[in-house]
Amino acid sequence: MVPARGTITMSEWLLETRGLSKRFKGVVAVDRVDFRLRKGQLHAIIGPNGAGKTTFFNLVTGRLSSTGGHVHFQDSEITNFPSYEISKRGIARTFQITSIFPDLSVKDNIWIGALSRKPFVNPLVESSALRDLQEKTDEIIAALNLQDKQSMAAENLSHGDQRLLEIGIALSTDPQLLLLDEPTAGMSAEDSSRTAETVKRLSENITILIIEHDMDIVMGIADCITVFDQGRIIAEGPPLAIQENRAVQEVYLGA
Amino acid sequence: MRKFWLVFFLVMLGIFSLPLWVKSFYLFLITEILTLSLFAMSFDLIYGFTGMLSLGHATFFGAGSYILTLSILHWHTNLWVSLALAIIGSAIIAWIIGFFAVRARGTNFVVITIIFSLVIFYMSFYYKNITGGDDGLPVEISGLPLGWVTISIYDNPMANYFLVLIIVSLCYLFYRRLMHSPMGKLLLAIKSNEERTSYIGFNTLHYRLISFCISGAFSGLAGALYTMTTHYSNNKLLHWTTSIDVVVWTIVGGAGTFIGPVLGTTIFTFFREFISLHFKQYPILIGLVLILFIIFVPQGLLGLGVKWFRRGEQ
Repeated sequence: MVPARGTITMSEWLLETRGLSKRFKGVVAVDRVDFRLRKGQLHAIIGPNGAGKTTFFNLVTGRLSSTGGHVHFQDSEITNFPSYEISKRGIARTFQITSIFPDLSVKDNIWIGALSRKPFVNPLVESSALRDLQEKTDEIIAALNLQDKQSMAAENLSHGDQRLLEIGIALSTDPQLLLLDEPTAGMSAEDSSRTAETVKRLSENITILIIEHDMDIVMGIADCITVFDQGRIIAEGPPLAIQENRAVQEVYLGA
Repeated sequence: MRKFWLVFFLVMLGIFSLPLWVKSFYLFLITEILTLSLFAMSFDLIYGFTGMLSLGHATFFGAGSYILTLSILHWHTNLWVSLALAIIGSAIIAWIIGFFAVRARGTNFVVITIIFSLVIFYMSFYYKNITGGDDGLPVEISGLPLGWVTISIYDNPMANYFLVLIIVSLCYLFYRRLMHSPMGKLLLAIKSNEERTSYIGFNTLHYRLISFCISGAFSGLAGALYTMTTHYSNNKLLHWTTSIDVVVWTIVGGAGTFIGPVLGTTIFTFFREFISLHFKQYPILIGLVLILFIIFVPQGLLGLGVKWFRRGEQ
């Protein structure tokens, strides 16, 4: 049973996991996790390496199948659904290691994402005839400030721009929930703060769940933080409460 | 766009007037090249666009050929019906093989396509009474009803040439449209990063299978047109060397372009016709050429030509 938390009704939770678990041959990567994400929040997941954060993302998005428990999104069960089905329901994600379409142009990277919301992929019309997709693509490219680079092959972008493009691909699918797995990993300080600003801005319209190692960014932008350690949630709350939490300090400082 | 149609019509004009100024042997050879070009373009759809390397594509080429021959021999169908049966039959075989193959990736995909094609090749020996085995089955091509007249293709190489030319040109236009359609972009996305394609909401297995079936159906049509030209089916068409040939033509010509494979097919078929007579080790030469292309010209002849052309412009 999930313990009652406040007076929030079911529909205010966008994502909920109950007893979600993943075992790999003797190792428990995610251990009976009960997690709830409120609509409209920018919620961060932190924890040391190997705490099970990315595995948790992979369970929610269908990259891995769980060995126990349930995942609910907007009150309907999506446990172990294939990734494309989860995307159709409104969950988009980025990966720890950037995943874009390296051979396609920057514009086509976004365009393909937008195409995914069409009910039918036509083999007989010119792509350029789909005006609405062009407009949506231009909008997202402008929002990411990638106009000057839109005709470049995505593989030729800088690392920072590739990370940003990946967020753009996710956004082009009109998600209700965006899962970002360490979006600032490997970035320069300047790119990191630019990305953090983008994430903060996006959170005004979309619910975001973010895994992030940079504590300054997490404390600066998150509404709520969940701390994972050894596959379990050890603390949850607003940034200030997490900073002062003794269990969290022990995990991070080994105190 | 206008430039494309201008070039297309000029090329078509040249090709259509060919029978006026080439010997009948060359007309036969060019007709054969056209049918093989359709085979190569169809292979390019799954290799150059969707990123699936099939080493068993001869199965569909051979299937189309046999379906045409057997339907004429046993059911006395007219040519339109036989061609339609070749397309549908090859598409069904492609769906059955594809159902298993597209679930595998990389080397496993290659191995599955090879195994299916070997099984079908050996079955063609086992059922020699149906397939004619090594000796093959000669077939007198049935008439082509056009309105109230029926045209004989069998003893009229020029009519056969024009029919093949029109069908292959229409197929090329279809492929070209596909290439520039949302489906074409989606296939390129799958080739570029299949996992990412799945995470934006596409059931990639579904689209890989569609691409495999379209490719199989048109390869079958190519096989049927080939038999329409040569008047026989034999199990050499199902042999693994036929599968390798189409890979070589496509890679050397330039994969992912549709025109590149036509270029590759034309060059290799001409070479085979004229060099293999004087140079018995011809297959070794082909192998060497392929290795050199994979290492030094991975974009193929067409890509190389475009690069030179652009350099000249600058």
